[in-house]
Amino acid sequence: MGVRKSARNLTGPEKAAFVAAVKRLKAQTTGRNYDWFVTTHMTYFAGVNGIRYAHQAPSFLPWHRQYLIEFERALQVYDPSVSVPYWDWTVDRSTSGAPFTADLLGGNGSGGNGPVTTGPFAGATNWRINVGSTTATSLRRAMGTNTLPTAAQVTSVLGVSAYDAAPWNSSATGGMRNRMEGWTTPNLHNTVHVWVGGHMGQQDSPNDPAFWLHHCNIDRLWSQWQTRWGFDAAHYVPASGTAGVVDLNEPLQPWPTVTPASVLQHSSLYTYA
Amino acid sequence: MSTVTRRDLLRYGAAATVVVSGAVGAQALSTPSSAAQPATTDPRDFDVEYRGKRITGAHGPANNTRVTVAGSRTREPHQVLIDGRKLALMPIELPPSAAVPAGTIAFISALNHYEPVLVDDGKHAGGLLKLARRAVDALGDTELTALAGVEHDHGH
Repeated sequence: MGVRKSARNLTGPEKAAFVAAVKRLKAQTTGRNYDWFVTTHMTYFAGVNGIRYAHQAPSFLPWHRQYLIEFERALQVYDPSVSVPYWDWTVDRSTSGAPFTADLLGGNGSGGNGPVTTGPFAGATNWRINVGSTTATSLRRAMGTNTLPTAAQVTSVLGVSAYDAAPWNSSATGGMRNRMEGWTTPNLHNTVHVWVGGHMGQQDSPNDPAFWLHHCNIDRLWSQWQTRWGFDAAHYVPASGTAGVVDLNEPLQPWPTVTPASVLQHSSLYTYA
Repeated sequence: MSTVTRRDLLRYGAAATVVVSGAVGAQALSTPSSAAQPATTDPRDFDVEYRGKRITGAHGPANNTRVTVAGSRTREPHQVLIDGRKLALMPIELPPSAAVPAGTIAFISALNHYEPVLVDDGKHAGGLLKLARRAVDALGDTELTALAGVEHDHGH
């Protein structure tokens, strides 16, 4: 079982191990390599065969939980000691502090929206963008065009007892999920993608390794919500019979044996420190 | 030339017959046909320079920018090109609020994927131009790839 830590609390060797494993997955030429993860997110952002899996749907949280588990497992093939760290953006709110330091993710793009120039992912030689919406071959960021969500906003979202509500899409206002995802206020997840900017604001956002630290934090917040309201199956909806979305016991593609019900409990795989 | 649509003519004007032989023309010919639409020009359409890039926008029928049931649309209503390359748009149904009634559709693009922009005939008549400019801001000195123009199934 792994322990997922805040990026600010990682030791130097832990940061180096995470970076090295990510780079080895990027260099992998076959199977589910780093670019497979980029492509898969892009494919599942929108609906697939008439079902919304990853976004604008109740399964936003379980889909990304499984996606993170798969990514973490892929890293652990190279280094079993590695867990994905999280970025608590209610605490670390600077463009140059954790996790955007030269020994982890590197900093802002040059000139507001240019290539990242510091850290292990700067430049196309260190980190080449192969699957992208633009012709940029190196990682880009344009940080700080909006304001990161606050601790008070997180508290307000975690205080909503209903997991999600009809119509189960980007217009739902009756539950926690869409407040967390961010198509309705106070908008946690979407705001952070926009704040990092560059690749993180695009459909190919997993090209920026910051994606994993951000989504690890989103998963941590869901876990905190579950701790408060319940890890049981009653705390995922819809239970059944709702077209176009993933019900409790329906498959979370592209993992046909995984369902929202099967990922509600995560403590046998990882915990948060 | 039968596949060059009203929108393509709008974009390229008299130059259409020249550019179809080049890369830009190939892009234009690959865009969806809008032959069923009336041959009128939407006053919100644009073809302008912004930060060194040519941005072109053609609006879909007004009644396609708002729907009351999310599943009622199967194609994107608006089209944006940047330097002749297609930028895919995706509809996002907004939550009803004091600012927008139930069923209001906003749009994200392949580049600004987490920040919907309203496009309508009234207060947000310039929404598509705003969306296109944001995409240029994100592009900087790069251009769109073919991946940025791939239309998605929205699960409807």
